[in-house]
Amino acid sequence: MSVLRAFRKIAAALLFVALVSTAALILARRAPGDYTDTLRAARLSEDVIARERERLHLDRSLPDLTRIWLTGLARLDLGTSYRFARPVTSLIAERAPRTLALVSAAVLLAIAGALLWGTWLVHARRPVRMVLSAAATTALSLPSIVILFALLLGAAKAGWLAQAGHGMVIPLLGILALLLPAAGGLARVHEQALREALAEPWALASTARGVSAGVLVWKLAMRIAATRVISVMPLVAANILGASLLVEVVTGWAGIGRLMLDALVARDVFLVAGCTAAITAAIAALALASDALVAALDPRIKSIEALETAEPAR
Amino acid sequence: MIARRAGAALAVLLLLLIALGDRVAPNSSMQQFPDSAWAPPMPLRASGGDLFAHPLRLDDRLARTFSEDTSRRIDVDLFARGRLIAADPAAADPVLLLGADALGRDILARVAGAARWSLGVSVTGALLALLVGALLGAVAAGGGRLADRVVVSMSTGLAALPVVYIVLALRAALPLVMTPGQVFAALALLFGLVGWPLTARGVRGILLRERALDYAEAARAAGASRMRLMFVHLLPAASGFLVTQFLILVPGFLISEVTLSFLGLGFPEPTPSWGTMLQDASNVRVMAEAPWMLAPAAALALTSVALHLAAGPREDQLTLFSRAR
Repeated sequence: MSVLRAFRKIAAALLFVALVSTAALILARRAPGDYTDTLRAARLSEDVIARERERLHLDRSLPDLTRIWLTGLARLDLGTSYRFARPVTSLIAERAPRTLALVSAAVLLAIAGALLWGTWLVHARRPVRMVLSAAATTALSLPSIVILFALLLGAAKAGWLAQAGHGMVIPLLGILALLLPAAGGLARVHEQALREALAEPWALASTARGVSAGVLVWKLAMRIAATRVISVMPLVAANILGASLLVEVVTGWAGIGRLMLDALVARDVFLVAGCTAAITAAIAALALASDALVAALDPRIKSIEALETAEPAR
Repeated sequence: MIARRAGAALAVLLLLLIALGDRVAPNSSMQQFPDSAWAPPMPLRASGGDLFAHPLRLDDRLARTFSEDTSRRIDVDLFARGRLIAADPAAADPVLLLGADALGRDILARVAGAARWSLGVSVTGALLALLVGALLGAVAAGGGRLADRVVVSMSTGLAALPVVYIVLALRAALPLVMTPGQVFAALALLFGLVGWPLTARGVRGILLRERALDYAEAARAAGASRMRLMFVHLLPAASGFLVTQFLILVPGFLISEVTLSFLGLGFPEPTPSWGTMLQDASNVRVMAEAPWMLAPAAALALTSVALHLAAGPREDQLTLFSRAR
């Protein structure tokens, strides 16, 4: 990846974060009702409410609010949460790592599982292959929340949840529920990519030079085929992040999903925008990492990119 | 192929469920039977071609334990009295084939009645998303370079974000309390607004490929305008892709509906929806002691698997955005 190209991608990612989080800010501000409604309900005097509105920037116009948000974002100062009366950055620093742990564990395990599952699908003989294939289809079509409920039911019946020290059981079930649909889908992607890689002329050439089947599949073809799984990883991670919202709520895992939900309902404008910025920044970073990883794994990508830069498609 | 046909058949049955809704079960989805709160499913029995069920006897009001009263039977008929499953109207006790919830409402009636709301809004949303996606895809392929750049970057940005979060943020920007009809309209529109990127990208790709073929050249030579060429001559080539997209969009939107209703931003009680029903079942103790409350999860799973089977193998779904191809 050339320096210029990398620079452009990072700039696009930053623009993406600024755009989406500002959209969320405007949306939350334009929503009917605002945070001071709760103060009015508590019968505080109009004087107090007016002062509170000024302090929370609620008296500002939308363009003003947007300017405050964007200049703050540039300095990584995300404002103050109305509801928690704390800096948004400290709230996110508290909650985001928990969601990150849940989602990244699910994403990494799903990728590892899918690479094995997909490779096995290519290798297996007919009866085994049909079972593996049916399992992949089922897994990819089951919603995470259904898998979570099934796992919780099983764990409750087995008495795991009644024992002392079951604290980690529920989050682990959450990770399993998140990763299964992704692993099923990615296994299919990898199976297809591996079949295509093995059909390419260089695979035949390697075999002719005496490379063993094991090295061909697990080292040479795997490296090329894995780029497909890695290139769709950001999309899969976004899916898992979406599903993690309900998983967090059901398992009582205090992550960013619950925080965002509370912020949205309380019309906590800066917290909504802050959570959105954190989520989009994570997604954008993942997209950059996936691009870099694909380019590192498959040297041909570099030359394709160079061609695209020199002569745009279409 | 067999799996695909089975999936399609199941999907058609599910669509029938939307049409039947409250007419599937012996009871209405809103009716409460206080004496049957937390009642377990009543097994349907057959003797000599007649279907019947034994009513339940409440053994312990506090522990909510029930037993079958085998001395009495309630006749059950299929396709009778305007219902799919109808119970003897003269019987004093309700027939609860999938048990009852905390308010003594028939779970079967609620799961079936909820299909109308949950599946209905997902199907409507998917149709809207297809419409938007096909239009934008055609505009991108035939509307010049700037239009293409705009559609492609918008779809890339939108597809990168989790759909559930976008729908949640947009839904929360509307009044928090709405009637079921308003929720239906709002969610269907939101789904249409956020669900189009993959469809647009797929349609764009197909149209660009088709445009290079001889028949497109012939239409151009015969004087077809750029838009006529796109919409009249080339778009039919994407119909197979659009059907597949529809089958994949519906389960995705179902999950969004379930998430929103679960979190209290979807269909309000007492309107049955799979999301609100799952919310009632989300307590581990309820799950262990009244597993029939998980019936909506089973319905959700069945629907999702059926639609994915009907869509067929779909490796290329995710890779619509892959650059490594």
